Amino acid sequence: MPNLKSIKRKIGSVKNTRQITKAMKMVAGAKLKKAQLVMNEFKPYALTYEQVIGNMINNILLRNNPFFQIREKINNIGFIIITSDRGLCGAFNVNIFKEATDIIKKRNLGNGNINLYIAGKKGADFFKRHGYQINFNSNTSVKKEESSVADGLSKIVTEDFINGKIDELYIISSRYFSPINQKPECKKIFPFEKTTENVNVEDYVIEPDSNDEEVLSKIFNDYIKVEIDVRLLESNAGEQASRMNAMDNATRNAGKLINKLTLSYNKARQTAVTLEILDLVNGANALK
Amino acid sequence: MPLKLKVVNMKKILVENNEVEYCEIPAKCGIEGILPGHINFISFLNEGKIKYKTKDEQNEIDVKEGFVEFSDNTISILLKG
Repeated sequence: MPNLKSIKRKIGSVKNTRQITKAMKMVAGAKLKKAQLVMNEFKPYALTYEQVIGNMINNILLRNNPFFQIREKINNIGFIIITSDRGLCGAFNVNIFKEATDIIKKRNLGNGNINLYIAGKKGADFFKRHGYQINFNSNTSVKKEESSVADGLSKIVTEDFINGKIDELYIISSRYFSPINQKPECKKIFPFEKTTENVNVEDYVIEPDSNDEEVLSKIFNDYIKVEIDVRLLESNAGEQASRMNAMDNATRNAGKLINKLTLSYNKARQTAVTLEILDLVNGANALK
Repeated sequence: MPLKLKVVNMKKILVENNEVEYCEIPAKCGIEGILPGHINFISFLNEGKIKYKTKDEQNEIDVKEGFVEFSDNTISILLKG
């Protein structure tokens, strides 16, 4: 017969857990709202920037810009990987790790030739444990003060690409489609590639024309920053949404477990009562 | 063929209009007037005002910093802040 006291203790502990997961769900919900708002504010800017860069890449004839340099032999590849700082958010990070390791394995390069630039504690821990070379580790993926993470990241990746430390650069992060749908996605950033054949070969006039290289570099540098920024924001919103779902599930499971335990507690109690009555009746009968 | 004008800053879309007839931009090298068929160009912006005209109205937006890209009769203006 299960011990009444031990079941009662179990119920108490599951109840506590349920309370915690419930609170975490609430917190994640509030944070998600905020994150969504910030993300939605920034998204049109990022989208327009992307379009503009797309136009420029397809139109421009300035092929001597370092960002367009397609290397003949791809020796080193860089990956920017954006994860969350904290756990308890369901399969959010695991999905990103899986996508990233799949892509890295497909390239058939040694670990030494893979350069990782990581935002988010969880990612840093995971890839360190698996022996990858981490060139940059921001230790946080949350945009706190004036986008310092994206600043640092964009600077170091552009430098590494121009100096030839990496021949290609990809960014892997979780894209946010809806509170219940986030998917990891990999996007190539460097070198810039034409998406269509030159239909419109008309070149741009760049002003001020005395230093057009500088103008382009500044625009492209800003673009990398904006791309990283929007992904950081999306990742943050996705993390909160994922955590909310995970905590919702946990709360529901705890409820189910409590019901089950209560049932077995009542059963055990009933058995004990019946046994006691039997004892009494037997005792009374014996006295007759 | 009218011009398409899109102005965004980091918070929202300020203007999205596909019926613009004329647009004036405070480019780095002086104020630039754009009519349909203008040559493609990229330029940073000075502090000033973007003016644009549609069939029945005329509007102005203040700008501080940003850049403009023009191609295929589409003006994209990205503002900082």
